[in-house]
Amino acid sequence: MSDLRLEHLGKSFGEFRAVDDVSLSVAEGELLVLLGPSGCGKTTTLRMIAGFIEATTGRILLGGRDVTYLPPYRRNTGLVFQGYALFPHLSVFENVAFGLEMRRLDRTTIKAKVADALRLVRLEALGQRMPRQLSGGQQQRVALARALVIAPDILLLDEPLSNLDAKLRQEVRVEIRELQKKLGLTAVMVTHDQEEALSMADRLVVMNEGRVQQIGTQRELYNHPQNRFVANFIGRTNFFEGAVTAPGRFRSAGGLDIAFAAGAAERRLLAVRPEKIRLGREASPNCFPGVVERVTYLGSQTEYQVRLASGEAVAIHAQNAQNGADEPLAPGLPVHVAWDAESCQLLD
Amino acid sequence: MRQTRRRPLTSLRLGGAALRAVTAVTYAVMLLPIVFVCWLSFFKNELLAFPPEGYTLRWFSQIWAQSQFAEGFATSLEVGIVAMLGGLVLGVPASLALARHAFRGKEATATLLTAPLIVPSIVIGTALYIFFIEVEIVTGWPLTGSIVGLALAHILITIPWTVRLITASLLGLDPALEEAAMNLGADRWRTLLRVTLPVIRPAVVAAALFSFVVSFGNLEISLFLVAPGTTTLPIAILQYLEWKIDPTIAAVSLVQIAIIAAGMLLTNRFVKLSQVV
Repeated sequence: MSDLRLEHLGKSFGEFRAVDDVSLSVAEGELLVLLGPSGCGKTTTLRMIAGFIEATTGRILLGGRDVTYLPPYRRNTGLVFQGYALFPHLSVFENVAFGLEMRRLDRTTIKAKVADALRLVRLEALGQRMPRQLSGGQQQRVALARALVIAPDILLLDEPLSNLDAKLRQEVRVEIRELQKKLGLTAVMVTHDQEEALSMADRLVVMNEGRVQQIGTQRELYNHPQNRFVANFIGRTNFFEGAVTAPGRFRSAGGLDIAFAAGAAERRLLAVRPEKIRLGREASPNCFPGVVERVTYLGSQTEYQVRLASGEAVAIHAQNAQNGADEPLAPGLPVHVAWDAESCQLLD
Repeated sequence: MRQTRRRPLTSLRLGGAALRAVTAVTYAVMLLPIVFVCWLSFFKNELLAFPPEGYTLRWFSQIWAQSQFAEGFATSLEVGIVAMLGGLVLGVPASLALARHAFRGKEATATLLTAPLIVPSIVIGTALYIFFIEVEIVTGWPLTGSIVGLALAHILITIPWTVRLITASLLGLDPALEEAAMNLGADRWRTLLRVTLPVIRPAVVAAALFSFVVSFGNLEISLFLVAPGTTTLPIAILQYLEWKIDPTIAAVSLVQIAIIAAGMLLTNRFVKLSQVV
């Protein structure tokens, strides 16, 4: 396993910049997730690392070796494809053995290594099956074994869970993560699924329109998003446009005078997470009157949309009582909402 | 309510009946000659007449007594196999280029490769005849009356089928399979040999069989290009007909139909022909 570094990596298709000046690094044994909406450049970035797309600018360093212009078959990356891409004419064993045969290992070594790899993904009994005879989850594990058996410098995962049903996805997620940790694999995973990204990553890279928006751990991204896109993409949030009027005071477009704890004076956007807002009158500096507009029951939580007197609307997530006995507030009811100065995030 | 509902149903039923009738007539028109040829080949009387005096298998044994049929069969077989192999050697790379790469003049190339389907065979035959003569004048190679010239011509008419069948199959092939092979360390050549070709093998087999069938049944082009003294099976049949009409010809035709039908049925097992023809 090796570390990976992307330096000012870019890819243009004609005028269109699919990937624009992406720099990041993945430490040995780290799982980095590229997260973003479709078309954000995450898949193009992954395919550049694998070598299927040639970079227009920048460098790719794998274990310190510049692989930017190497063909895919000289890079030693292990890629798990979205649709698995198992060879339909080869058995499970032959699929896993393929990469070893390309490396011209002898028969006995290949047999032993394939057996090990299949045991790793708990498929040792199915070596003679053909791919079409396997379930989606099993095919996925064959794909994983095939990518791992060649001892790649880096494991690349392209939306590996998107073809599985919701329940299986949960299981495989845990399985891949545990395997990655156990073997100390350096890995890059691409996904558009926020929950998947949050649950598996050591660190995340949020991308949009070909550019890196922010790199950080789950906590960093959630609690300290750098811009509107990240704040909106990782979890939900309420935005107030406006400007800083005095140290620690932000005046919203609707005229709310909001106290905040930290943030640069030139920022023009303030965000508050829905679960940080409380219902009820209190002595907090940020306590504003409003009217309940909409109530949505979400199981563990209830979401209220409250129209403030300033004209701005906020979403509030209130935890439901353990015994399920609480009565939700009815639409039309006048209420107060409040949040702490520490809950405010100032963004670009 | 009920009335308004019934009317479209009746017209639907009528439409269905009409469709079935038209289909039946179409099939009858197409199949009747074949049915008659098969029937005739068992007639006892030498001069074709209805109703037959009786039935016999004599005409089938007659085939082998007539040396031109045996020779024609051998030539057709030989040319068919060469055309099949030649069609693959040229058609597979052409299909790979068309299906996998974007290049200038791609559309034009695709049209050119399927052009022998559009140009009437008799025109192709004439054109090749003249072309071969020109080549012969310039180079001295005796193409016109040679088996090589004939095989080249037959390769030409198999190419559209090879290209169509294999291109269709390649376009249906998940490009991730080839990427997976390269990711695992296979260069382009080994990817082609170990993954691409094995996966599209049904289409390659179908193309081979269909090429053989197209070549084996061809009359118009061969007519211009056979050497004096050599003959293909369709030409032998035609020549025989010029002198004589007896059930031998029907028997030969039945054998030819059987071979072609077997080829088609075999092909259909690998690739559904209705999808590409």
